[in-house]
Amino acid sequence: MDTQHREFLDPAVLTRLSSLPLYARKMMMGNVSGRHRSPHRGSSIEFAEYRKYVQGDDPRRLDWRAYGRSDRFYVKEFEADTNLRLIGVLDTSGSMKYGANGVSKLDYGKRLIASLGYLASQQGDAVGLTCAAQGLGVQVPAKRNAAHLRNVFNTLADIKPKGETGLVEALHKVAEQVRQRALIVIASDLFVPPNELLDCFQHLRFRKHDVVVFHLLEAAELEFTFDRPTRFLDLEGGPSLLVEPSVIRREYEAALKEYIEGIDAAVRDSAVDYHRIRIEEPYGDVLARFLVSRTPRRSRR
Amino acid sequence: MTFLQPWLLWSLPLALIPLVIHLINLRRHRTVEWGAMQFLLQATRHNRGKTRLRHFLIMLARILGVAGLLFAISRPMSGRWFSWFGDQPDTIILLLDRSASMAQQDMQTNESKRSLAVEQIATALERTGEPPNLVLIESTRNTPQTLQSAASLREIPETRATDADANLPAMMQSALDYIVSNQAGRTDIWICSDTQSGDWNSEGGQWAAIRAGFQELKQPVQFHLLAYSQSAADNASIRISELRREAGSDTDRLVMDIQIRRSQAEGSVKLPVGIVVDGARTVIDVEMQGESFALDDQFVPIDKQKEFGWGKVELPPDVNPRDSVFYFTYGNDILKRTVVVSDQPGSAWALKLAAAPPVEKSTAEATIIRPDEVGSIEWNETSLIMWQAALPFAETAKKLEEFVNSGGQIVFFPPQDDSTESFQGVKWGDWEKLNLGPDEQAVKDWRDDSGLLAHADNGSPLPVNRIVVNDFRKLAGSGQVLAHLQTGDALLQRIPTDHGGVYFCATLPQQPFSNLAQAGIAYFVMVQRALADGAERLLESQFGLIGDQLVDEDAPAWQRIDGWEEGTLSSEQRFIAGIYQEGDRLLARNRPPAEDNPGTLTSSELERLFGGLNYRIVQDQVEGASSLVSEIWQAFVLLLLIALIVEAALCLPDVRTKKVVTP
Repeated sequence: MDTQHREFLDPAVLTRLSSLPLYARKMMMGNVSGRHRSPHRGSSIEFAEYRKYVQGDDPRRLDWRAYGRSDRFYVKEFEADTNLRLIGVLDTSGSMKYGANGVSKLDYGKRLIASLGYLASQQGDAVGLTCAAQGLGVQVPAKRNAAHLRNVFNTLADIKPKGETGLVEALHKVAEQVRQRALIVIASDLFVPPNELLDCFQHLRFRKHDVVVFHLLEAAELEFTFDRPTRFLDLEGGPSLLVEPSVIRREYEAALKEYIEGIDAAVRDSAVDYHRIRIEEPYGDVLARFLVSRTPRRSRR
Repeated sequence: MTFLQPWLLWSLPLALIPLVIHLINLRRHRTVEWGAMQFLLQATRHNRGKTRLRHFLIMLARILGVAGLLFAISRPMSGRWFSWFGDQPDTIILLLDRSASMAQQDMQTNESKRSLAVEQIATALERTGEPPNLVLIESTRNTPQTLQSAASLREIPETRATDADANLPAMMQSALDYIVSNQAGRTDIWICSDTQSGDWNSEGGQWAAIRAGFQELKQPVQFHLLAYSQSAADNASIRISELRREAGSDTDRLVMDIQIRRSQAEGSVKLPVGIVVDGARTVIDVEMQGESFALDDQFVPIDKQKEFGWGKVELPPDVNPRDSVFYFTYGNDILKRTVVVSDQPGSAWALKLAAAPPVEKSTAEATIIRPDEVGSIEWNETSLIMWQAALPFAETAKKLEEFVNSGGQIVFFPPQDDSTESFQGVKWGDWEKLNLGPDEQAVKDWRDDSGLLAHADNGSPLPVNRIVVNDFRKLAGSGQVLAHLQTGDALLQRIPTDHGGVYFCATLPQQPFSNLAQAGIAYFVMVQRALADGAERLLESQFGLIGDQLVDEDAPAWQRIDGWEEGTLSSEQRFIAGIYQEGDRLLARNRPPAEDNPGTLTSSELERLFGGLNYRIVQDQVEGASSLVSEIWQAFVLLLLIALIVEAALCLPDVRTKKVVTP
């Protein structure tokens, strides 16, 4: 058990969330039994369907009652429960350094991914991590043992925001490299062109991954609440800009609106599970809302 | 435009305070590490059109607002006289046209062109600050007069109305002389005039010299012409062109030719012409069409026993009351005096006989004097001088020229002695015999259309062809020949003069020189016509014109008995129309005829007169109430308010549309 203190893990939050299981919205193809539906028939107690007996089937699975009623051989099949692979994709570009009240977007993203990883690990799911920065530096494959989770946390702890974003390349790479269906949890400010993001989402969707997007934004970025001349230093290393906020506020808001509309269109077209988050909001509430939203309406157990 | 507090304009750079604050604000920026640079870059790319213009306008409005405030507290003056930021000159010379035509007034306010000009100049000077040296040159005296303050312009008699004319070239020359003699420094010359053609004499040769004089000055001179060129639409003037007393059986009567002139030719108008003689008023209604109207031979009966008196003709008061009245005096018939200057009794007698025929109750009188007695001539009472002696020179010649210039007539007859002097460019040559054939006439041709030998009133020619000339004296010098002898020499020659008349007759009237005295009707008519012409100047004194020095008008003994109020001042009365009396003598003063002429100089004529000089022309009108100069700080306060309103409107926050992002 990992006893090391992690800044991005809050036991109180984890305790509160522990009663909320993490479900995938799509069928997963895990290696072991778990909480998630599988496209294959399995040995759970959840009835799936009757299927005609074919040569080669185990005669022990014949439903004799059905034979008695219909004089035909049927095999009774049950749902298979399996585990999932949770791949956290964390944007580690320079822009994720921005934040307020001592909490950057990167810190917030770490908390989201770490908490979900912990919850997934607790229910037997595999957890992996990919850091999306220029060059795609760190990639931790999904595994389900506790030692691996510690490895993931260590990696998260070591991540520093730097450079331009490599989110688009990272997502395409994840889509290609993660062969089995997985729950892809993206924590990023998504400062990339929406059309490129749409390509990424459709790529992941084509690979039958369940994509969750936490779009992390800070209030100042949304409302541009500056009122005096300010020199803006590009956290991703670009040129700085000295502007009079009152002069460009209207254009800034127009550009932001255009961007948000583009993002909305991308997530709508790709049907990803999109959550726009103000990082001033407690991440525990965000996760609770997220987990509740993914809980199936009809309980299976 | 000028300012009452010009030193406050040094604070004008304070108008840049908004810009400086903006720049300081930019320099005091804070630095923020920022992630969403893509939106900033996009915003700054788009921030080039309306938004940049909007913020530029905001900055401009703020600067204009501060500038407007600074201008307002500097107390700006707007004036048609003043150029932007004009400096105060060292000397201001005011040339004031006080002629009768400047009395044209606004019927609503009774403000005349002259009084309006004085008021406007005084107000402008008071508002802009008194100049170090203020000099007035008014049109009656043409002499510079230093004033203590601009306010005195309203009070001194030298700015009040007169009935005189004006001589603008002389006033300009006087201003030039003042500047030269007083080293006046930077000078502004303000001319207030109605630009009446007669007063300006734009064709006079002195303008070129005046322009050259001002151009040669070292100090800068700026001319400002406040021109009231607008003629009155419904002005009428009246004057008497001829006045005579005719004796009757019971009463005498005054017969007068009245001329009425009005400023517009269209339509007809009924005018009641009032004739006042010795206080008794008669009114004649006249229906007038066209610009001018002559009312000839109007008579008014007068008491036969009354030797002299006075009167006036008048029209109802109109926009220029000064030209609506004309004064006259009357007396007994004028005695036409002739002085024969000769030291040869034979010739003198023949000359005297033609000038004053020995008849009972004759109105002509002739006196024979020797050439050395010329000093005894009563010049003001003499109409004709018949000079049969050596031509005058020196002081005598000068006296005779003054006599001619005042309208007198001189006829020179050849002296029998040698004469080497000349008069008006003409001198006597040698005596010659005129040898003619048996049927030849002495006079070859003569001017019968005008002059002393013209046809009689009934068209009958004078019997000039019956004149017999035996001896004549040649004339050397140019002139208009009225009669030629058969030899081609002049028998009678006129010397051109502006006033009066100078004639040379080449022979003597008695035998053996000619038969003029014995059989010369033409000779008699010739002399009488010259005498009548010379007597006109005395007749004119019945309605004397201001400027014609007929009597010692400056004598304080002359008391006004009728006329304008200004005539009560002894220093001004010789420029004021009216009737004046000294003992038994009456004197009428009237405006000069040129003042009835409504013609004014055109803009091109004014430009020609001031060509090469630094001048500005401000056209004003007597109905105009606008001041030459006025404080206009209100306009700048208005500018300040507009700038603030515009700035506030541009700074209004945008109406927030629906929130862009909902988390």
